[in-house]
Amino acid sequence: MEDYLNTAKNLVDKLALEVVMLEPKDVPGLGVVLNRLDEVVGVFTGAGRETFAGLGKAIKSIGEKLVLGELPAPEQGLKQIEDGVSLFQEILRDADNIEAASEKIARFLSECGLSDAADKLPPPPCPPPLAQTGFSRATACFEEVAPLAQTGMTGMTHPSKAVAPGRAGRASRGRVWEGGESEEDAADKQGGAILDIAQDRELVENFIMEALEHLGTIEVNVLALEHDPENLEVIDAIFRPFHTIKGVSGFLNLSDINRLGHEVETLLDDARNQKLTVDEAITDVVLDAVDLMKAMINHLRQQLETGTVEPADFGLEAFLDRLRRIQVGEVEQIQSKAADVPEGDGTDTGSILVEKGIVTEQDVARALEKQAGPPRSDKKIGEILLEDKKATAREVAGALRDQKVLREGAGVSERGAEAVHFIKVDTEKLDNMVDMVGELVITQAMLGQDMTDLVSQDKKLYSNMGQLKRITAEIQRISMSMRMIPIKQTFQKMIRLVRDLSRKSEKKATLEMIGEETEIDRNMVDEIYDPLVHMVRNSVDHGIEKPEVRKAMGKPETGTVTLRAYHKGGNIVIEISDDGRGLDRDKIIARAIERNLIRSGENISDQEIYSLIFQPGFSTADEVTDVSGRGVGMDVVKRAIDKMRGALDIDSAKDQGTTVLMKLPLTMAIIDGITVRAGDRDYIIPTASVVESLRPDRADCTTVVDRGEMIKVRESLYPLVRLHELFDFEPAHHNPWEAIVVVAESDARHKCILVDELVGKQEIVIKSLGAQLKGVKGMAGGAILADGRVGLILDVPGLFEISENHS
Amino acid sequence: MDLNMKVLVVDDFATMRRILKNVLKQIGFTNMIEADDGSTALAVLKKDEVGLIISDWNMPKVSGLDLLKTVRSDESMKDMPFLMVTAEAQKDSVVQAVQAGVSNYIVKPFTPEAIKEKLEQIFKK
Repeated sequence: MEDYLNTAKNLVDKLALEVVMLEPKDVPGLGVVLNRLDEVVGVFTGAGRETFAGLGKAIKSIGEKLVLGELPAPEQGLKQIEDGVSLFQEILRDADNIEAASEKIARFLSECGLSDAADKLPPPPCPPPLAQTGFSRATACFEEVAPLAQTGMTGMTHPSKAVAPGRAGRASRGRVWEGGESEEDAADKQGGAILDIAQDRELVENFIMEALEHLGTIEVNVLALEHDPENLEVIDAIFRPFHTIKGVSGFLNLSDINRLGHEVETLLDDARNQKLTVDEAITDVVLDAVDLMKAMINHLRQQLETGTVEPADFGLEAFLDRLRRIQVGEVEQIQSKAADVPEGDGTDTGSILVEKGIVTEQDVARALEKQAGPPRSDKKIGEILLEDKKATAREVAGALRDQKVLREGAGVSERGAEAVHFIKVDTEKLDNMVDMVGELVITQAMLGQDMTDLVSQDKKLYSNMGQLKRITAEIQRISMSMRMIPIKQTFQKMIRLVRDLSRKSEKKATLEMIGEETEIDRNMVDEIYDPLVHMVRNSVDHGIEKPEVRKAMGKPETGTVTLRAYHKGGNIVIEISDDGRGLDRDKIIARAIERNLIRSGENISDQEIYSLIFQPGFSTADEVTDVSGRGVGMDVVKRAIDKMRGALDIDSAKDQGTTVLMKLPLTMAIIDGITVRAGDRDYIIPTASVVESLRPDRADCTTVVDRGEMIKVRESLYPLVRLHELFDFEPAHHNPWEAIVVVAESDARHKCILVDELVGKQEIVIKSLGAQLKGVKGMAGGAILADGRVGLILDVPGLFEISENHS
Repeated sequence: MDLNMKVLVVDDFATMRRILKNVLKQIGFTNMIEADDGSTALAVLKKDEVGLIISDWNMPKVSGLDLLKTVRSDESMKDMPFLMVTAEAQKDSVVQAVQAGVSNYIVKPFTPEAIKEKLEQIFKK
């Protein structure tokens, strides 16, 4: 008893000293006082002296208001704190006279416009964990206290009056205090620019870039949240960027973006504080908010680029309305949703609930009986348990989530918020550097060749040259790797696509990603995006069947689209596969014959047949159904891949699915090429297109009516392509059996290219041919060879095309 | 207030760091370094002699509050001027920062004058 009093006296004495030194704007000093008050309150609460503790809390609440600048007259607040502390000292001197103390405390509280209610209400007045929308919340707290405070009080300021001057005071103090969502504050915010945008255009540009990036991560996280609605970390990872965008847009005076950000943030904050359960309606609206914000930011970018200021209507008001409605949304809806989550096979909901000790095995057995009927019920086990009141919606939802984790491994939460540190470099600079490094490598090679003789005589020179070679090779490797980024971001964009598409077409589909850490040249990321979207869209639209159909076929109702990326022999391979209905081989053949793409009776492989869907002829709308829906714009995909010097492969099995393989070079700046010589010219054939090279026997060279010269390579006949005829020069040999043929492949078709000799294989830095020669068919670019000569890089698909037109 | 002191600006949003740096430049500061998170800020603090920290509250790995607490628990930095930048939504949790020993705080969006006033208050003593 005595102990706690002594401790308290000591503490209050220290407090008194600290308060004497205090000034209203002394934030650290206030911090010290608040901490001390916490100690005091702790001592009294521990001793069961609630009245005394109440005084401490009351003083602390004044201190907090002082900190927050919520007091109209700070000096007066300070005085109140001083008075409060003096009172403490006074009553502690006569601590046994509880009645007198209580009376004095009550009088003090009433004088300060507080009441002894502060004692009864949960301390502190605004519990920090719930506190968020600053001002409005503070007001609300005040009003809660008010009715209690009025009883038997004299001389106190009415709370609402106390608030008003507070607000005025803040407004006059400049923009330091921008309040919550009240109208006045919003109007205030638009009153004057905080920073002049015109002065810092770059700042806005930065904002646009950064905000879009953040919106991208928000999207990914929202999708993660859908699978794991209670993961606070994920909610936080969504909340934070919105919050930041809101904050910065406030500085830049972008009031619409600011308002949208604010509303979404408010919604998410409720979710974060578990006042709102995340359901589909919420993830939907957040995704829509992302889209809307993207649109607004893109509009801003346009304005910045074109200099126009035409306003655009984004329907913001209606959207904000929707947001607010959802925020106050009904709880009922959420409950039904929880039980609605589709249930899969394997680890079933029932046993998870049993394991968690929420229901008994008998409950589950009974529910299963109910489900089996009669009458047979379509309800999920979770739903039935919910109906029988054996488990709550939250418990069922929790079990369903556990189930997900069990099935997927614990991948989801990790997706939350991992940050790798990057610096941003203009890609053009990077490209220039890679170009220059390419030159460096070539110069080094030339130097090596020029000095071969010298080097062999001079040991020191020899080792130095070796060193130079190693270093240049390393620089080349590093500079190439600097342009490589994981394909993850591109893949992740597809999650949203699959989700939206499947919802639209009333199908169930999930996206699986494998090898998303595989790296790809930055320059190719944009190039592969469209083809990828196209193929994923095809997979969902036309590959995956409706749930009923799938069920009838004995497949799981939810179809799977799998994206897989990996490196294979200097290429990056991207696989898009689905477990849908597959391609209809016979229909493709029929269609192809109809369109004169193949002749009936021709012996062609399945591969070649499936590849036909990449022909332009297969891309009109009415064929959508004819060819199992495939081929919609697949020629577009083909062209894009060709442009990247990649190859497409397709494989399919009826009712089992389709796999499309995109084989792409690792980078577009360097190719692995085989240098060949024909006449006095050097050509480079991309190694990826080369199947083999050989000198044919005289007997294997034949001429077939209508198809021209053919070379028999083992059991197949391939057309011969004479470079010298196409490019008009004099070769060393005219007869294939004296020269060499390179068997090249494009589109699953093979041709033999006639050359005089093979020079070697090397990595080649591609030089563009320049604007005038850009459109020349058959040429992909130029290159400086190791001996300093210029070689032309052959574009095999283009070469095949002109050889067909030529003959 | 020594305008040549090194100011550490901590915010995960690059645009925000830029805004802060512009504002500081307007006030007359010349020597600023950045960190994009509480953890990188701590690394900077170990290495460089910093005279003032201006930090955002909301950051992915180590928040402004955690940074403040770490700084205050370090004997060599326990008196380091620390200005916390918060958004209005967190006004009530400002009390937490104050109790953790923040030198002052400022609410977004702010004017150069406002930040100057806060800094003058910090360095008055």
